[in-house]
Amino acid sequence: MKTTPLAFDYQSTTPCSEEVLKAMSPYWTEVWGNPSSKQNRLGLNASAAITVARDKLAALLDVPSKQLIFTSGATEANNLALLGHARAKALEYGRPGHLITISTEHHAVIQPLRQLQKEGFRVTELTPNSDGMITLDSLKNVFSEDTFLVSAMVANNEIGVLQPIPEIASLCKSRGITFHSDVAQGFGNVPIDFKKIGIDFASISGHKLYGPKGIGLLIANETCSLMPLQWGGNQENGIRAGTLPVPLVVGFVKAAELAIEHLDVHYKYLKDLRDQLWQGLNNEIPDLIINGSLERRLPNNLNFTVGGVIGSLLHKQLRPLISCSSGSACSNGSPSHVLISLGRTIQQAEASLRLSVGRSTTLKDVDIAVQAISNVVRKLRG
Amino acid sequence: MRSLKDIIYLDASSTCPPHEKVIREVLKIERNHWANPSSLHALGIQALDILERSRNLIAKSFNVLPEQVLITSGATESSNLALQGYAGSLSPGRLIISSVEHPSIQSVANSLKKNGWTTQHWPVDNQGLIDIDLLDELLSPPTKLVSLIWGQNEIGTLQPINIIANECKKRKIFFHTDATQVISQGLFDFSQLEISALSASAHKFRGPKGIGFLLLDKQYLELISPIQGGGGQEYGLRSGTQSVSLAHGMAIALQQISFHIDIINNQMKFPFTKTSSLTSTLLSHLLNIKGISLTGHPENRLPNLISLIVCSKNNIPISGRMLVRELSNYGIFVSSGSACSSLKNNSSSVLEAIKIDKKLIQSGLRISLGTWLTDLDYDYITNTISKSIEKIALT
Repeated sequence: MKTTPLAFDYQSTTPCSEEVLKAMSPYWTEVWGNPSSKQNRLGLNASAAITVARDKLAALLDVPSKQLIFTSGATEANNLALLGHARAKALEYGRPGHLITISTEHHAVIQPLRQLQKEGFRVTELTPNSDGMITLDSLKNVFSEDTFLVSAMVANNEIGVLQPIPEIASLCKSRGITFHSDVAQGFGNVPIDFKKIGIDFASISGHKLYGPKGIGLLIANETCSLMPLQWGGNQENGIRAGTLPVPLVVGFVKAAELAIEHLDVHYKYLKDLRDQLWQGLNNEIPDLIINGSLERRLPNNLNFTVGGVIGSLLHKQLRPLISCSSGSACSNGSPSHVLISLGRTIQQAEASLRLSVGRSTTLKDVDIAVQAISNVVRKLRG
Repeated sequence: MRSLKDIIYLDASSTCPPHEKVIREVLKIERNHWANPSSLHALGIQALDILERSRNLIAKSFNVLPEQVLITSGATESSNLALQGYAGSLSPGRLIISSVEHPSIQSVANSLKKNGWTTQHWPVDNQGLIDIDLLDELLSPPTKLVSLIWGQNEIGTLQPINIIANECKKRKIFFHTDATQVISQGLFDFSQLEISALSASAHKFRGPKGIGFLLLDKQYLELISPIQGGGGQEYGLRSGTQSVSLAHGMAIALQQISFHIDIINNQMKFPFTKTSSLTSTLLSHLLNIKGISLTGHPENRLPNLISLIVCSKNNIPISGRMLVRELSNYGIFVSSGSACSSLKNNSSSVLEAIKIDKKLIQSGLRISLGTWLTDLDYDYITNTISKSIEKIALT
């Protein structure tokens, strides 16, 4: 559905695609049994739907079915991996250890790590280079003998940069360190070969994929110990208790299937739009500062700082025209910790725009956005 | 799959068919208001508006303030958030749970052991009621947390949670109740009860799966620490993008419940409804079958739940599981116990707790009704159960 203002915020969430809504439909109206209740046909059918969906997803991702743990979203998946693995490890070793992450990670990674600090773990937050990337050397420098986990996202949610994940993963592997990656933004937008890369824990969210909200996934290497976050029934091999929401699981798997199947087409479409957007903006406002590497970047993301304007005015004037953000939706308006990490001042961070295009964005939308933004910037600059 | 009209679905305690209006509304939000409610732009604000209206509706249903309503992924998460979240802000002490709790509460209690907490079970009589004589002993130090299931999911017994809540309040003990099975039986005034925290799941009251809520007493809002961190949604107590459509669907499902549980002179009065009337008539028919007896409390019980021990007329114990399977061949869907423990083994810790004879422990049958039933063919159900019992007795 087209709405005014124009949607340029497809990284904060996406609508369910029609195919996803259609796939979920029978699980609302007919197959609504409890998949944990295998005593009658309704429950058995619900349980079978979960098994079919899980197996299909496992085949798509090329990982064993038993590695897939459905959660309520990527936030829960990140918390489960980080808190669950760290606490299990601490129990194993009798002491907490050291974890490494990047200062530009999503709050859903940063916050559980801060919680672990309160529990006695040591956490190093690596500051990336000014282009948002970390280098392997900077990572190697902070390893210590009790480092047991590294968490690095495939693609940044604000600046879209793509970290050297295969290299980080193999470095971790060679040292026997568990590797977690928040792939909520990367999955479906860039190819990720889970099997080849060897990610021990990967978190995915349904609603970033044109799937439903309220569902996510943790891919978990079964050789890495994991303590549950929420305890209860025996669902998900005892790792994640709670009745599985069958329609959401089916919708999630459909969304993942479509994303993987059409990845090349979507990638090209989104990247063309994004490139047009950037080029158009540069033609109109030549002094925009790109945030994060333009080359190693998600196809759908743009993030730049506008010099010489006040951020709050820029956003206020754009609001009736374009839906976009200054950072993550989850940070609720506070200045972006990601942009600050790249060396931007608070004023610069506030005068920054994250624009993300989606499957229903058109070239015409891009033209309108270019005009709208440049008009506002010109007006503000006087 | 046959439609609801072609089957007799009597397993409300396991899950319920989502209400038609719920399905329509969920779909409407998915199509029209799919933005992230944390986004600051117009689309996000529209989504937030629907989320907060839903929260308001939930709050009104229980006469609490919107900020006392936390939206979670379901009752399992709610219970974990209440118990782990409050325990996390205290030095370890003793947790009291009844011996007939849902497996999820049992499991949270076990998980607290590693943090130094001890758990003691509040024993129940053979009707499943907690022994009130133990109140002073069990609510003495070092008890800091109490969690009791309001309406038992296998045998239907209702605990006197209003009394226990009052006693806990006097002693400054945190009192949590798992009200998962109760909400479908009527809304109530949470502020009138002295409960610290209450957990529920939408799919047990004809809402969507994957969503639930936790009601919190105002004084504990600041004392709960989150179990998952991130964007700080739900007043910082439960991070993660909320599903606006599911939250809205849950509120719509609550809106369909038009009856109330009243608390008069400290007595809880459950309403008479179409469902409770169908249930009691069905029960009287079933008790005419020789060999069948009721478990749980005869009066203080969930008005939609029948729990039985089933023997043949010659007094041979009948396997509950076999009977459930046999009945499903006739389109009658019931269960032999809790869905959440149905994978582990055949025996029921709840039936053990109410001291059911070992020989009969696998002969439990649970029949639970809901508002999708407008009428019942009592003779058909009674005859089918009776015939099925005798058929199984012969094998």
